[in-house]
Amino acid sequence: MRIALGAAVVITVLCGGPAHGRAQAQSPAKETTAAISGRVTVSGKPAVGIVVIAAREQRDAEVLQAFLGGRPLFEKATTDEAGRFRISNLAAGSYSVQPLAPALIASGESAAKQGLTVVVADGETATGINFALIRGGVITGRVTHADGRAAVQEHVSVSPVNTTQGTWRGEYSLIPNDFQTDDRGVYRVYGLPAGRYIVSVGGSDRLAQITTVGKRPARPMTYHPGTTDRSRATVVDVALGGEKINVDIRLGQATRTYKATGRVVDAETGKPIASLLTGHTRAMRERSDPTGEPSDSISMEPSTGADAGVGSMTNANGEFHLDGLTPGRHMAFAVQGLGGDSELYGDPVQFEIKYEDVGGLEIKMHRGSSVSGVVTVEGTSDPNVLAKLSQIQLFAGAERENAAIPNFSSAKVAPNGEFVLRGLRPGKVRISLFEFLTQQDFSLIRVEHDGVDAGRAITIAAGEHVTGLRVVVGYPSGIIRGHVKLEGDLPKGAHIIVIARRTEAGDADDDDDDYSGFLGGARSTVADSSGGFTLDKLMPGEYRVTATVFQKARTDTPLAMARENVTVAGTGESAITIVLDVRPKSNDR
Amino acid sequence: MMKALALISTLAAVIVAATRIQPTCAAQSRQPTASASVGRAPQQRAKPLTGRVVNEGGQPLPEATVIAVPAGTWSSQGQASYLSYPSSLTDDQGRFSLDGITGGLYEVTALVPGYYAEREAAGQRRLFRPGESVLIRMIRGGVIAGVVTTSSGEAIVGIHVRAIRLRTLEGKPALSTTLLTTSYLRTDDRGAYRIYGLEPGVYVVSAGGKAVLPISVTGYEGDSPTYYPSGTRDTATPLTLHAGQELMGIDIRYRENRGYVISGKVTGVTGGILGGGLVVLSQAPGGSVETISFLVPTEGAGEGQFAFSAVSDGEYDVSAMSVENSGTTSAAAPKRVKVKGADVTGVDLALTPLGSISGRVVLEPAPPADPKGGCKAGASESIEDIVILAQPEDRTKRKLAGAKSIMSLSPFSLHIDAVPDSNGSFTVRALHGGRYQLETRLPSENWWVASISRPPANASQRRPDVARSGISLKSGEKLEGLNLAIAQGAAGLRGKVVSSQENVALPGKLRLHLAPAEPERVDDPLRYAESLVEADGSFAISNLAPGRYKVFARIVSDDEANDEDELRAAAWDATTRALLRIEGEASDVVVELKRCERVTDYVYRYRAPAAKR
Repeated sequence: MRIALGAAVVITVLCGGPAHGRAQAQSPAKETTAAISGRVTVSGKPAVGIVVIAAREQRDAEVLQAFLGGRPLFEKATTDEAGRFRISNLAAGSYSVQPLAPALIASGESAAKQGLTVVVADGETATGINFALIRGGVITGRVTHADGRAAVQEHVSVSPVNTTQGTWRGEYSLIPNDFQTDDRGVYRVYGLPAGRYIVSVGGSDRLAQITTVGKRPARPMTYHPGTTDRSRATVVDVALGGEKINVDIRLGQATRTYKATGRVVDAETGKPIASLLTGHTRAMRERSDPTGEPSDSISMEPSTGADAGVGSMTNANGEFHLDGLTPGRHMAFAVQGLGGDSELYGDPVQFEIKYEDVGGLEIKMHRGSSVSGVVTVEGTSDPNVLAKLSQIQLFAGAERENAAIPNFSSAKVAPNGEFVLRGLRPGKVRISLFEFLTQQDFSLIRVEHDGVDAGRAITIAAGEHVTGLRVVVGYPSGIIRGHVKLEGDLPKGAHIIVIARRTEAGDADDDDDDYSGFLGGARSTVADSSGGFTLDKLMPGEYRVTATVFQKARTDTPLAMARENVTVAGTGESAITIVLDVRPKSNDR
Repeated sequence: MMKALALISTLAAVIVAATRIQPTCAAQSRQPTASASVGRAPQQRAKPLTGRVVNEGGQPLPEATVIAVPAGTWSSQGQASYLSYPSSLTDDQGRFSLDGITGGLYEVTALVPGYYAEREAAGQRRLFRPGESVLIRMIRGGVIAGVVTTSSGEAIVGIHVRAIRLRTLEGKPALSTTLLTTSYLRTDDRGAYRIYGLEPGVYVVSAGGKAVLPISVTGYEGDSPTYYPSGTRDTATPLTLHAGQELMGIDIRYRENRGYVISGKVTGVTGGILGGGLVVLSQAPGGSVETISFLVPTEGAGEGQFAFSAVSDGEYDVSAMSVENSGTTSAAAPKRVKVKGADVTGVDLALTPLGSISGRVVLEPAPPADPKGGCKAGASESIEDIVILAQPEDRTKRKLAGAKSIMSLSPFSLHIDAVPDSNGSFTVRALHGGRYQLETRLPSENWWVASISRPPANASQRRPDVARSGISLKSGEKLEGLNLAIAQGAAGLRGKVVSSQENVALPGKLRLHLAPAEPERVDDPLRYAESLVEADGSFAISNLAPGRYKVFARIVSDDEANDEDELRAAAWDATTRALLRIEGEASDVVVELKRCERVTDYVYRYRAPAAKR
């Protein structure tokens, strides 16, 4: 369902999204005098021609904009004949440094899978950022159909039974470990830690199917050398840096799939409704989110057949068809409102495929409920900020329990803050700001109903039109100006990194360490030599400010840490002092 | 960063899916109506569209994806993604059956990894209606393979590799692009790559740079691509790939050069972002699409900014288009940009709405049945099966348009055309300003186009005949009220061209022409007709107005033969028409075709023109 839902959301952006605009407050040109240098080795020898990147901590929106605007997401350097690299022209800040060498793996367990976090100040070069790597193992072979034809563009997965040496490095990829067969059916999986692996083809990773041409038949996961029973798969033993060849897979017959047809009608009038997008999903089954995070394991969970798919668009008679259905229980649904402002929602229809096609499905569309109200900005009455209200696009989506069937609505906010979200299915609805690509800086603080904090999910009844909602948003104009007061002397070459993280419930991103590389929602800076620091463009709210001392530009071993809480108002500055004890620690402490 | 990247990629992937057909938005699909249509029973149960997909040797191709796209979809705002078109997988015998589709014409295409669809003959279309059977031939594509290394010979792992088709083997501009289908190809741990499924043609191959829709961070996305063997685009060695050929050893020595940025802004953006605003970078001259970029909104209303990174030195055309929910397509005239050792900023494009031509097809009453036969009503004579094309007078315009560039991203040969609904109403959309001729494909041999007229400037006047003058469309104009009159009882002429002199063979390429013999018709382009003469001398012309015609044949010049667009009727151009008229007057061969008369055994004796003095 991910894709269908994703598609719908994206299309909302593509088509319904107004051309939002915002003064992209260009921050003054920063000095770019810092540098990071180090060395990459493979089994102790220089690794030549390896790209090492330094990625700055960035907000998601910034990454998106950089990406869409064609700007590079990172600075990079390539290792020379001695394996040395130097990434220069960096602004002061915190970077994640990582070699992009998919065929190489980390030699020990300790190496960070996302690279090392390095903090540099203006004019400074962080040296000694070294990576000791080893060559990963390789599994290669050929995938064929039962009749001997090459199986082209099939996704091959390798899943470790156990690994004995080396650490999978992970990679920046939406589809990690996307290895496909070529036109001869040949695949080659590389960068494997030593260990024992199960190799398979198939399954239903829908994201992986994005990179392929056309549809694929439903086929059970097939394991080397040609079984659909995982327990009968031949385990492949890969030595450290070794290469296993002829790990072939012979595919069996595709699972016979079936079709379902039906029509979509208006529940009140019985009239057919054209131009609705239809789809199907397995009846009530949770699917995990493909987050794209680099994963420790190389496995992809085996899964049976196609769980969800997109059907045809309804024609003038309201007719649709779904295909590629495997036996079992399914739900058919229809969504309108790709433009985002529809009044209709549909009841999903459950049906069962019992080894034959199903016809006569009827999906009824109802006038949905609506929620309306006003968006207000907290903490500021700055007319420049208020003038940007109409850049906000609100988004209402079904809460988790009925999320299996997509239902969402989006609405523009009027200059006076008013909004109406229509076409909602009864149940719990979560309201959020549509931030994706809109370049607006507001963020949601809370939703109030009749003056009471309603949380983010609002329960609406069928046909109900909830009014009087107040969506409170904040604008990041707060400033923390602080001072780190040191007890003792700062060791030579040490830095003080200050990180401010909002502590409000519901906003706690994840349990990253305070000094971890990618700071999910937090803001960071390096304190100057006298301990002063400033963090700006903060949302109003409670912040926990952590000051950490690191030696030698490295952030894997903090020398000292202290934290204080501070409240940031919408405008104006909040002052804070953090006392940090940097005296050498005695053993009895 | 990973979350953002995941978002980007998901988005990207969906866009891939969408642009594989077309980057339009889902607003309204073509509305096949349930009301009675001419010559077809109302509410007739649609039959499935069936067929087979085979390879070049006629062997069945199982597990091929077959997709039926309603004809005229581009102009009538189809669905957002090919996933929502009727589609099916072939069985072991290569057979497919597409059901659940209603009447009308469909373009049927197959997708098979490693294969490409056989190019249809010029002028022939892949349009079919439910109930018909379709044979789709797929041809195994060629391969380009090699290794990417650093200057010191180290393998470069995980770098994107692309093959850009510059032109066909015949030297014509390549219509399709491999931009999206090879978007995800990367080198393996030995630096090896293998690009497959390639159509024959002349290619350049490059490593590095940003994938149009990246799935992974490679580390090389900011570099300008290195072209085979080891240089910039200017110094790239073009590779000629013949059908089914495997070009091995195409090794690229990578040169790490930071690419340049071409950036600017687009004004006049009224659609949404992304799908509503795409910027295309294409090679100039040549026109091959290099990459596409999405518009990032800026503060100004209706404005977006774009940037192409990793651009090599060279000359480019930057064009833009946007599609609105309302169905209006806007395009910006391409700007020529020269990159030479520095970023190029301030490339500003202005989108202006494209125009449209709409009107009605009116079917005149059938004449009384002719005892000689040939005018019996066909089974599927529906005006919904007519295809209407607007052919621009200046055909280069179409090729330069941003819309065209975007469309060439699709594996489908999308044409800007229209199919009438059951009431005969049609709209041809996404047209630049200029003069157009409406061309029709008629489903029935009984029909001929009697007249094309537009509403008069004031009510007292007669409807101006636009068949003769062409339709002048101002930039962004939505011209309405056209009347396309179809008469019944058309004649046809088939036969053979033979040499009038013994032992003298026919020239290589001949075209048989008909020009009106009645003096009052000589300026009516609808009364001119032509047919290419096959190698065996045969020709066929249908959908002729009854009347008297002068018959003559002309040698097709090489220039004309190379003209990609064979659809054009020569008589439309006033100069050519005058020329044909003079040649017609010079001809003493006259044929009279009565209503419904279908001559099948006509013999035209060709005499070579006198040698030049």
